[in-house]
Amino acid sequence: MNILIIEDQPDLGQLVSDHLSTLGIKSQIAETGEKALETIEVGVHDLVILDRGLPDMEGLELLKIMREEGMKMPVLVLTAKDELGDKVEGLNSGADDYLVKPFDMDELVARIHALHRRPSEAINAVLKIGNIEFSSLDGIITIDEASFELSAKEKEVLEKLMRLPGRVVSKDSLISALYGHGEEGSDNSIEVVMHRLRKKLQKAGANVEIKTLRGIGYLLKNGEETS
Amino acid sequence: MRLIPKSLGFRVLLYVFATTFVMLILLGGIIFNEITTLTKSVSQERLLAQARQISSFIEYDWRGRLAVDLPSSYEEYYADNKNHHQYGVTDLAGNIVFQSKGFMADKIKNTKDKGAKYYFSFESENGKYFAALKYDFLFEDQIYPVYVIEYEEEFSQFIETLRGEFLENIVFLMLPLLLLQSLLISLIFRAAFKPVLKASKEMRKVKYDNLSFRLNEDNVHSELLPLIKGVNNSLSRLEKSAETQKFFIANAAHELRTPLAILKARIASLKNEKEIYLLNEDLRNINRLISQMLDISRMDSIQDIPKTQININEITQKACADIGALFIAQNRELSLEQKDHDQMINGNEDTLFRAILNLLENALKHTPSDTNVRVIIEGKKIIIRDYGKPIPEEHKIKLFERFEKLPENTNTKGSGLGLSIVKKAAEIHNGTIAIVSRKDGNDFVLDLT
Repeated sequence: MNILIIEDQPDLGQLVSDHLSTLGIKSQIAETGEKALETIEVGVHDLVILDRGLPDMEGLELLKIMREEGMKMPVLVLTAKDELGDKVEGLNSGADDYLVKPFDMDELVARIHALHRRPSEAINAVLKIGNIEFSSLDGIITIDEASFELSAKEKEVLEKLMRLPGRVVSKDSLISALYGHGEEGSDNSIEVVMHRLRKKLQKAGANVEIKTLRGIGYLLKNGEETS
Repeated sequence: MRLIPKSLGFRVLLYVFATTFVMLILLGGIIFNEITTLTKSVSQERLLAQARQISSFIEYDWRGRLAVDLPSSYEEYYADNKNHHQYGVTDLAGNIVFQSKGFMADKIKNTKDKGAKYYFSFESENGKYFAALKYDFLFEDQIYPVYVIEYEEEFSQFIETLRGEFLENIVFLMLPLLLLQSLLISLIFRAAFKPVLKASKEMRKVKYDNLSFRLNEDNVHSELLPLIKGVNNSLSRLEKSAETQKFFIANAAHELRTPLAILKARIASLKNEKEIYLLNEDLRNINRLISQMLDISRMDSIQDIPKTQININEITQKACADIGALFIAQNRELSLEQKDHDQMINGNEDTLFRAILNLLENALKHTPSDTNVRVIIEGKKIIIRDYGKPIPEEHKIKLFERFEKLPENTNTKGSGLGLSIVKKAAEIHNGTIAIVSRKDGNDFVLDLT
């Protein structure tokens, strides 16, 4: 994977680039919008990390130019603004995802992988938390490399939780993922699924824990981490 | 209650009505007074004419005695049964020399020394009013006071009629007159104040998100020009400061957070887990402070905060989910109970989200780490129920001021901004925020009803 980082702050650009290279991801840095347009090449760059505040133009303006010139690669926008309005604005002007500064490197990498999902590249498809590994491509789950069997609904819940590690996944979004909009899905049925999943995880010796926030949602906690 | 509406046109009309009314009353009074005086003098003239007439018939008879030889038409006039016309002649001592039938001699007693020509009036025993004149007549070097008395009814009736008719007519005359006048005045007002009305209408177009608008300075009256120019100047300054503010808000976030992003990236490359954790914690605090400062400047900004129909339940749920991980990290419970569902208000989603988040952060930070926090949605009220120490009454209002903290929290990491953001957000939604203490904790009630 080759990434173009458009970021005017040389330190930040370099740090991101260095971190990516430790993961075996190639990257280049462009510090202005103009330079970015010179550097960027379709077929060479698989993904663009774009800072919103550039010295010569607004990041979203640059994005618009890129899209108009037919560049279709995924673009991850780095924004300092976290107003809901700004997010919508960013996504409307053709960004595929956004990340609010200051961001976690791990989160950045996770988003890059999510955006750059290709069947040929295996690295992105495996979700890993604690001693659980979830291959979203074939749906195979292992705990300490031993295979772990779950029903379809339990699997779906676990995947949703593993995609947002350390964050609360709302009950509503789980219900709509499991039952869709037409189907009847009650608070109880999700609790039943959750109960069975917890039991199975415990039995298989998983070092993760599903935490409940009553009326709000669930969170997958890595049992290894100190709190 | 205002007695006079604020409309300038209405005021002008009202004032003109009032002055016209006063003028009419005044004019009516003057005319009325004039007529009364005139009538009175007519009546006095009549009395005087009668007195002179009677005097002219005073003479000595063939025996040399004083006599009044009235022609028979006169005699009849003074001899009517109703006693409406009387005359009498006395000598200087007041003894009656001649009198008509029914002459009310007792009513003239005190008029002896009143002068040569004295008008007076009196009320008779049966309640009738009479006008009278004493007229000193000089005859053969002797003064004989001649009295003429006339029943006043005819005269007073005339005055009464005049008064009644006159007032009635004035009212009926005034109504159409006033109507006509108000029509004329509103036409004049509209014509004269056209530039003012136009400017007022134009001013309505001014919105905080469109400050480039200026009032038209052409064809403006000289008295108004300074006002219009002043307004335009203010608008210019307002526009400039709004732009500065907007620029600051737009760029401050970027300028402040980019160095934080660099710091965070550097921290990630450290080896010591504990140090990473602590540094990230510091970073979170700085970042929260920046968010709060930006929230405040956004909410204080003079630009209008856009409002749409928003769902209180959804936003509360989102805020709870957003901060939920921090509660779990402390092994605390956070729960949400929705007594009512899909509560909609006209508001700003982001502002409300921030307010709820700040309330939750406040509960997380300032209550013991072994207590839980419950969020309850009841109607359009969002209640954050904690089980911390009840807050003393005297601190409650102050806590919502900027940089205010409870005395025991002055050294903690909180900025003292969170609750002021909540208060501002409540104001933006025409709602209230209050702390209701229970024995075992506090309810922070954000009421958006």
